[in-house]
Amino acid sequence: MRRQTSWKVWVAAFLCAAFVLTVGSSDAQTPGQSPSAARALLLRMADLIGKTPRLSVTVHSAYDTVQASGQKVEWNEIRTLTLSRPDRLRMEAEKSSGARTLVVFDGKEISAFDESSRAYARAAQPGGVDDTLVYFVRDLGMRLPLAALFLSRAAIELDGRVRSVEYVEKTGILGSPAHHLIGRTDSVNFQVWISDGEQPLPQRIVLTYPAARGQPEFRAQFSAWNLTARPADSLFTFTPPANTSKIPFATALAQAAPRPGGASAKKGVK
Amino acid sequence: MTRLFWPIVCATGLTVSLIGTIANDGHAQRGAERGRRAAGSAGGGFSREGPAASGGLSSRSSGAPAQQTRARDTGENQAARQDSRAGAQASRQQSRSSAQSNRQEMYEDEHWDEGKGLAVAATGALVAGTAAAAASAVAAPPPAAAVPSSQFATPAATPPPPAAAPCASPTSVPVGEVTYSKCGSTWYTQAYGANGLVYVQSAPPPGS
Repeated sequence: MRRQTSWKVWVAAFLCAAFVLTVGSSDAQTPGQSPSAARALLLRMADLIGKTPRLSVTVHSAYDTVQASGQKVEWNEIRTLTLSRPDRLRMEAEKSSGARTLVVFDGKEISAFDESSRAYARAAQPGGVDDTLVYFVRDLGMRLPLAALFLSRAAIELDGRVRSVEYVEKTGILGSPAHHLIGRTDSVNFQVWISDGEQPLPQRIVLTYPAARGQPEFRAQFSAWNLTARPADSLFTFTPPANTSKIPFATALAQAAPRPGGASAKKGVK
Repeated sequence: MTRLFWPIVCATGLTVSLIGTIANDGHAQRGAERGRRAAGSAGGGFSREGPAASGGLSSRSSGAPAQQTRARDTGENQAARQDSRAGAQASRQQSRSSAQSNRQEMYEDEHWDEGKGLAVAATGALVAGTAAAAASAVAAPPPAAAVPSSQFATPAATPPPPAAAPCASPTSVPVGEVTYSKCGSTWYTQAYGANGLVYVQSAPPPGS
């Protein structure tokens, strides 16, 4: 009797262990659960955007600025970006104030147009979209949030800069199933919600700048992704409207003659 | 004594109401002044600039720039000590400095979207002798539009606000294609910055 009981206990223990191991193993194989799988998902997203020859997307974005008083102000804008590799890009932006701007890379020149000021600036385009995005942001000092995502080498760029990624959860809270990831670069914490399925596109991105005063955030909500866009060539042509004036990029002036004792610039009201 | 009572009461009441009026006027004037100041700057006086504006995956507000400065300082100190040593050591130092410089360039290459350019654009200014540079940067007037005047597919949801001058009533002096604006004794020229039109402090226009 005692021998029989012992035998049953061993079988039950074995079955329990097998069950636990099976469940654990199946959990580990769920896509995106482990940090390495989360990183792989993030890079698949970047790779998809980087390797898509033509695309368009609308981005509702907002960012905080911390005022001298310590209070935060959120600034909103809507951007529509149309990209045609290797060298064309158009970005229309409308700020919460109603001010609208346009940026066009036509393959030869970069044009930036400010509708309310009726002014535009132009600079020679240094190459394809990749080189031009870097030049536009780094050298001309212009804003193009999340520009790194639109490089053809976006996956390599992210892989080199992202220090850690973790999987948070799978959610449908944004309207369709998405994987919620968090991660860090050297100086920015980020959250990204990536669509579940064959096209792992970002639905939402939140960047936090932890070392900056007040830890401001940049938030972007993506909609109307179109990876089969067929934009007309005319979309990448900028013809200055009548009664507009051409002005230099501010950085071009600053680089032409850096001011030794500090500098100042006054902004136009927008 | 009784005859003096009512005149004193009236005089006191008058004085109090006069002081009250003056105080209210002063408050209103200060309020109006605040309003004027607010109207003269972007977003009703609130700053649009900050690390989050770039939407970049790197930030200048991190420890990285400080580390770079320390690295540069260290390099300079080392170079100073190294000067007094043998030529071979100087040569090694040179290659070390070169390596540091390369690291600096690598950092900037990797963190190209950290908003460094935004900061330059927000604080850029001209000094004497650069008016020519500004003039050369501004080319011929744009041709009349051959396509519809609006560059946007849809009309603006809200009417775009007019661009503001650098001060309440600047003196504008067009010179060639450049319009100089004078506020007090300071001159400005228009330029395209990260958030649209900016006025960059400049040298006076030629011949002024």
